[in-house]
Parts: sequence; C-alpha cells; structure tokens
Amino acid sequence: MIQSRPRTPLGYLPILLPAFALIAFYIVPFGSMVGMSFFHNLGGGAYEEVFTLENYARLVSPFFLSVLGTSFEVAFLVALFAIVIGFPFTYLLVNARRGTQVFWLIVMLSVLSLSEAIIGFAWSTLLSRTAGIGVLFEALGLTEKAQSYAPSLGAVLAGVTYIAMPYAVLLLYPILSRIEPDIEQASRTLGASPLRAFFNVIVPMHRTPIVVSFVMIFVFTLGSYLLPQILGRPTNWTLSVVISDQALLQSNMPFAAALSIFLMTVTILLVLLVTLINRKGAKA
Amino acid sequence: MSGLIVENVDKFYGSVQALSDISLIVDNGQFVCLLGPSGCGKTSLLRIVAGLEDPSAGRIVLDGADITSKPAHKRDFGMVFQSLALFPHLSVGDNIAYPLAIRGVPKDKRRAEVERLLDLVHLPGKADRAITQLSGGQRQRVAIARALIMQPKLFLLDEPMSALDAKLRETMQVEVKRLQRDLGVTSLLVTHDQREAMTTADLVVVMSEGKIQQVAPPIEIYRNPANAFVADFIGITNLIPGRIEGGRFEGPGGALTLPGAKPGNATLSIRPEDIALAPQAGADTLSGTVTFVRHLGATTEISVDTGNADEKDLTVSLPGRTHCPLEVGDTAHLSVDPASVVVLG
Repeated sequence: MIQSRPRTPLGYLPILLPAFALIAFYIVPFGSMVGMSFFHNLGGGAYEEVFTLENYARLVSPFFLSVLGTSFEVAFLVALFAIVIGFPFTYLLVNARRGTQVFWLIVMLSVLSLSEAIIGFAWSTLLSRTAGIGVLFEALGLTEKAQSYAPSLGAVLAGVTYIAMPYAVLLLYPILSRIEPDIEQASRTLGASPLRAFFNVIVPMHRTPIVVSFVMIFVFTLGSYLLPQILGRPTNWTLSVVISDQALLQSNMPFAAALSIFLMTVTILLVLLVTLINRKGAKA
Repeated sequence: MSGLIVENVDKFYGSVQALSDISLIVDNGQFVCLLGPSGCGKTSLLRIVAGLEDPSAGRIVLDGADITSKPAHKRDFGMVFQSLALFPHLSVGDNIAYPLAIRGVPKDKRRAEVERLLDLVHLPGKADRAITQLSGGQRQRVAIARALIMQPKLFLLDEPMSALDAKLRETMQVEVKRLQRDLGVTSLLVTHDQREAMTTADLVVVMSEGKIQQVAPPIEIYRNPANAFVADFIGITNLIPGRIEGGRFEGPGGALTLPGAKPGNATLSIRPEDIALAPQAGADTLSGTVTFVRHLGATTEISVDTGNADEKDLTVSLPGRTHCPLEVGDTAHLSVDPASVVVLG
C-alpha cells in the first residue's frame, strides 16, 4: 500500500468528487436533521426555527421508551436467531461439496433480491388462518382448529430473521471457509465427538466473528420498518415505524428528527460498547 | 495378539485407488515410519488408522480387537497433524489439557498433568502462554504434548516437522525419538523425508503408488533395497542395467565379478560411497569419462559417463580428504566391492 501524501495540491483532485458527494448527500442532510430536531413544531407540517429541547423531552415518555424497547427486542432476537441458525448452517455449508455450496449461496442471494414487501406478504399468507401452516397443523392433528399466527411478535421475528439470515451466512462464510479441516479432526482424535468438537472448538474459536456478525445484524435489523407493519400489531412496531409515522402522517418533522437522532445515538453507543467488550475478550 | 494390525486395506477415492491391499503389523512399543513420495497413500493409511477415514476394504485390528468401524474420538489415539491444528482460542495449557477436559478430569488434576507434559517436551512454565506467543518449534512441542497427555495406545504423526527449518527439524526428530523410547508408546509417523525416517524409526515402511514396497529396519532398507524404487528413493544410488552370466556382470563401461549371482538380465544398485577409484582398467572395473567434479567438503562427488543406456552418469562419492586427481574429460576407472552390490531382478 502506498501511504505517501500527494506532493502538489493537484494530487488531491481525485478525492474532490467523493468529498463533495459525502458533504452534499450525507453531512448536509444529517446536519439539517440535527438542526431540525431542535426546532419547535407548530403542527400541520409547519415548524418554527427557534431552539428548544421539547422534542427530546418528549422522548423520555413511557410510550417511546417502550417502542424503543420493542425495537431493541426485535433486533436482539433476530440477530440471535440469525446467528444461532446461520452459524451451524454456514459451517455445514463450507464443509459441503462445491456444487452444494454454490447452490445455497445462490439461494441466499436470491432471498436478498426479493422485495421486503413480497417477503412480508408471503409470510403473512403463510401464517394466516385460511391458507397458512395453521391449516397444515389442523390436518396433522396438532391443533384442534386452524388459527392465525399473524400479526404477532413471532411473525415479525420470523419475517425479519428470514431477511437477516442471508446476511449472517454471507458475513460468516468467508471466515468459516478459512478453517483448516485439521482443527475439527484434531479435536476428534483427542476424544471429542463431532458435535462436541463443534461446540467446544469451532464456536469458541470464532467468538470474535460471531460477535461482530451479531452486532452488524442487530444494527441492520434495528432499522426494519416494513415487516413490523405487515406482520406485527401496533405494539410490535419498531422505532422506525414510529419515525415514519411522525414524519409522514403527523407531519411533525422536528420530533421525527429527534427520534432518528436518538435511535442513531443509542445504536452507536451500543456498537461501541460491544466492540469494547469484544476487544477486551480477545486480549484476555 | 498385541499391537496394531492393518489387514488387506484398500482405499478408493471415486475411481482412484489410493491404497491397494495394505497389510502391516506394528508391535507394541515400536516406532514405525511410513515413508514415500507425496501421493503414495501414506497419509491416507495414517488417517484410516486414526479413524478419520474409512477403508474401502480391509480391517484395522488393535490388541486383538477389530476397530475398523470405531469412530476417531473413541479410539484414544494421539495424533499430531501437519498443520499442528492447535486451538487458537485456548492457552498452551488448555490446549494440552483438552483431551482431559473432554473426559471430565477435574481442573487441579489437569493442571498437574499439563505441568508433567510440559516438562516432558521441555516447555516448563509455559502453560499460561497464548499459542500465538510461541515459536514454530514450541508449537510443535505443544501439539506433541497434547497428543500424548492421554497416554494413547497409538501415537500418530502426520509429517509434523515438515514446516520447521532444517536444523530445528533434526533436533525435533531426535527429541521425538527419545520421547517415544522413554514412554514406550507405539508410534506411526508419516514422512517423505528419509532422514526423518532413518532417525526415528525401528521399522520403515516404504510406500509408492498405494502399495508397500518394503518393510524393514532403516539400515536394511538402505543396504538391501527390495527393488529399484526403494534403492532410488532411499539415499542416492546408481542403477546399472546389464546381464549376468557365469557369476559375471556385463554392463555399460565394463564388467564385475559377482560370485553366485543368478544369471539373466539384472539391474545393479551400487551406492556412490561404495565405489572407489582404480589406478587402471582391469577385469573388475567400470570405465567412463568424467563429466563433472564437485568438491563438497565432506565428500567429493564425481560424475562418470559409462555409456549407460538411459544417459545417467554414475555418481561416485569419495571421502573429502581423498586426493582426486581427475578432472572433467579424464577417463576414470572404478572398482566396486562385490559385497556392497545389490542385484535387482
């Protein structure tokens, strides 16, 4: 890697465009959102450009704290499910034949290419009373009468996990494909059954990538917006839903901005915390 | 019947046959080396013995019990892998204690055992180190200690020293041999390095193309190779094709008296150090033109073109302090002690 600085001011020219794009499309809008969050809302989409903390004061209400709680709960559980399912799946995948690997990676990428709306409605059909798995359960005699499983928290989790899974697999695949097969075999010759070798060696060995993937999926899921509305009850709505509700339906831009900044700050703090814990763990 | 018996083992990978009809007996306490070029099937055989792969046919018997279908984790063997396969997330001590932890041995007992093993491999007091803090040779010792902590019935080594530099490798070979002798553990080592095999083994199994070529003690393998492959693979040798009639060998460059040799077409294997310079051509000399002289210090190597059909020059190795009057282009006369000649069919 070349690390020397350009010798003439002209040498900085190539970064001009990205710098401009960064300022125009990220820093300026973000700055205006920060400013907006301190304005006074007049209602009906109008606001007054005076400094006030009332938007942030409103955040500390039981309602918004519970919405925030729901957001974190959904993101946490989804990240957990995605890793718990995705890690063993990816481990099996990297040990499978080449053709099998390619097939599943294509399946995963196909899931990513699906529209979130389609996934949402597919799940709501699947979990419905008239055409879903409820009918199957009734036919199998598992339940007395077919029932609907959506909308519910479980439905939200299922749908969002479905979207998060490919990310988990694609995050873990390059890391797990680098394991030497010797490691697992060594633990077997030393007396560990394949299952024990997996839990005793393979999982703890990948502590860091597991935590990193968890945080990435957590952050990614925190912004989920469409599926909670399709598959969940209003009590299952995430902060993103409430933000869009404030911005688009209530036309309260200052409060929507404050909510956004609050969500972002909490997320960043959380990520920092986990990174810190992880770094400490890696050192010890 | 005590010891390891490999009985008529075949191994196919798809349609490729990696091992064909391998039979081998390893007595308890013996150190056996599987020696051969890469792709000869030696590693497949070791992995089958370890239980990491299933043979396509044949049986593995240990101390009279058939263990062919016993999974690797129930065999109680210790294995050192080529990559060492140390667990990067565990400390040195936890790596070594892993087999004990799996079997539920209490912590204080594990600790004591680890200390004992670390002393054995000359790494005292390193239990709390991270694997990444160790040098290549130290990691090697940790892998050996981990494989030996359960006092395994069989100690398996898959080219564990191939990643070390030449000097360290020699030291480790001697150390592994000493350790094995002191512990009396039955051992099976896979290597392509004949020096390693000669250093460590009581018995060398030379393999090529999925078949056993010869099983014999190291010096026997060197002095009495069973066939041209073994003669050529172990050390350096001169293979001279020719004909034997009436106790005399006729080949390119001259003739040699070989009392009692069977008549017919034959190939002689003569080690470079078993050839001496003769002052002039005689009834028992081979002659040819010197094509190259190498003064290597400990020895002087002379290449002599005797008109061998496959255009391979004879190599002659003289002790370094012997005066060598020959230069490239001179005619050399070579004499050979008939006792050192191996006649291959």
